Amino acid sequence: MASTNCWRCLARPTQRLLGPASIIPSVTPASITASITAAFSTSALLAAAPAKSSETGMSRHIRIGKKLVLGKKKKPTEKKKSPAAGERKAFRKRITLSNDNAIEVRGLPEFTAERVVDLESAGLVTKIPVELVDQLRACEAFKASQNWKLFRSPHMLIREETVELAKQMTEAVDKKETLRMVITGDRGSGKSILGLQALATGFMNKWIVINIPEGLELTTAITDYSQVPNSDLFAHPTYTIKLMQAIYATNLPILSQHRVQKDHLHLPIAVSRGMPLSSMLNQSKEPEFAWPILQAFWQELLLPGRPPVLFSLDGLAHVMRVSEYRSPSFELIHSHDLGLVRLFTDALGGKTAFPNGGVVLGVTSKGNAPLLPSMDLALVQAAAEQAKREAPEAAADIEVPERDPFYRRYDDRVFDALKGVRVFHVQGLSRPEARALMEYWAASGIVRLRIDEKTVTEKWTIAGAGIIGEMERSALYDIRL
Amino acid sequence: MAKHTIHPLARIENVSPKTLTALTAELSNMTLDNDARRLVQENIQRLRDMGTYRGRRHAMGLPVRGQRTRCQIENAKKLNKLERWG
Repeated sequence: MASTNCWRCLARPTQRLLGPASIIPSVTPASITASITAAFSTSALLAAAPAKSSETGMSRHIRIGKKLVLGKKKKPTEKKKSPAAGERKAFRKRITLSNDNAIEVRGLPEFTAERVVDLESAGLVTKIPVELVDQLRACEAFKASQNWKLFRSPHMLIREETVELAKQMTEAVDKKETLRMVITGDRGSGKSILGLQALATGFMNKWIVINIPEGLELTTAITDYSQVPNSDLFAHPTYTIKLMQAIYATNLPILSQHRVQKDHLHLPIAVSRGMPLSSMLNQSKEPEFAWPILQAFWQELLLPGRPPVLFSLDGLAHVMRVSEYRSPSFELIHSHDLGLVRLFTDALGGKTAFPNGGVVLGVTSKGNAPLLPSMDLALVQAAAEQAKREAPEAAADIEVPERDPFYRRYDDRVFDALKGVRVFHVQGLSRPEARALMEYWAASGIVRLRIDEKTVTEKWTIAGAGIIGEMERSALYDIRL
Repeated sequence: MAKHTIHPLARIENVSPKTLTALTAELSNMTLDNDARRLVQENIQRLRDMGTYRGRRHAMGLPVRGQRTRCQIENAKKLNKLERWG
């Protein structure tokens, strides 16, 4: 009997030919038998093709019934309604924190203020409580680029770095000191999430949390600005109103407990002593009045006896350069001359005193960051000085890098703003943390692999020693890395 | 726009009334639109009234400044008239 396979090509017989005849769908019995007998025969196809009748076939002229079409054929276009103004952007920037298709993971502990400073809980995936989710959402801590939309409810991994950061923050605040810190790290290493965890720690400890979600929004000339009378500063009226509303929404329970202590006679709104601090923020929705009110509110916050303040900004690089705004004399405005940015950089540079303890947190971003030699050098110098402070016995061996003498465009204001900050470098996850995270992914039904030592090691290694963003890319999305 | 601190992506509905007033005040000092057009027309009319060569060339719709006229005079044909609009 002749073989069903080609002798020459040594190809393996297809499943269709090997399988029992009962599995093969019977379309036309004749064609199957033909294909079984000879794999490369075309006779079945020929037999299946309907015979052309001689009247409709070649006896008529080839052009009969066809129209000569000159020019291009126009396709009938369907008229679709184009999306309304801003709709596409809203869709792109939408934050989805829940996915009904994902499996709910039960039994995970909640994120609490005690747990986040406990080294035991490093490597634990925790559930974010609902009220904390609302607060974080109101201060725009969640980002569209993060993978919250894949899971049933927002959970986050407490890393060793999280515990260390939270410890440093709470210790500084307990001692009524100011922690000035910049979070750096590789792309996708979880800097913004660490910033979010810092905000969550602030909310849990009942501090006053002020968050500027994107430094970029302040400096790339996408929101309106105005000159502040009698000063060299520029304000962001609309953005400041938005920020004040966010502060109001997130910190209302704490702010309403405190009263205004100073006289603010110069303010355009009526602020009297003894009224709750929160009402300062929502009394006026007029963008024109926003900046003086925010300044007065900031002065009130810094009086002794107030709760500690956490001031955080993501995308630090964008506020460390010349902005795209122009002054009335058509010169580019340095970012540090923008009022809100000045507020932050003064706090980060140590010019603002926080008598009740405070945390000033700058989170760098590697996704869309300008090249800034000044900021890079200032951070490296700050890290070296920090290493000297931490290990005084080895201080002689640690060298603080100097400025490049042949580079002229260093920005002294950046060096001032980053003077003496602590630098917190975020690296990849450890293996146990990676395993905990992947087990959570598997329990949510997103990763459909057996989570064992082998898969964890594979993903961990592929992701450049546990860079979490890369792990998510390789595990949660169909990308072959 | 920087003079009135109006950012590049600003929309007219979001500009404050105060800025708009200042902008209008500044624009009112400038010769714009129909005023500017009338100025050009008056200049041409003056040349014509004096009976100059330039005035004549304007009236004929031909190049004014000594260009050759064998070809490439489309812009002159289009623009050079007594009642110039653009």
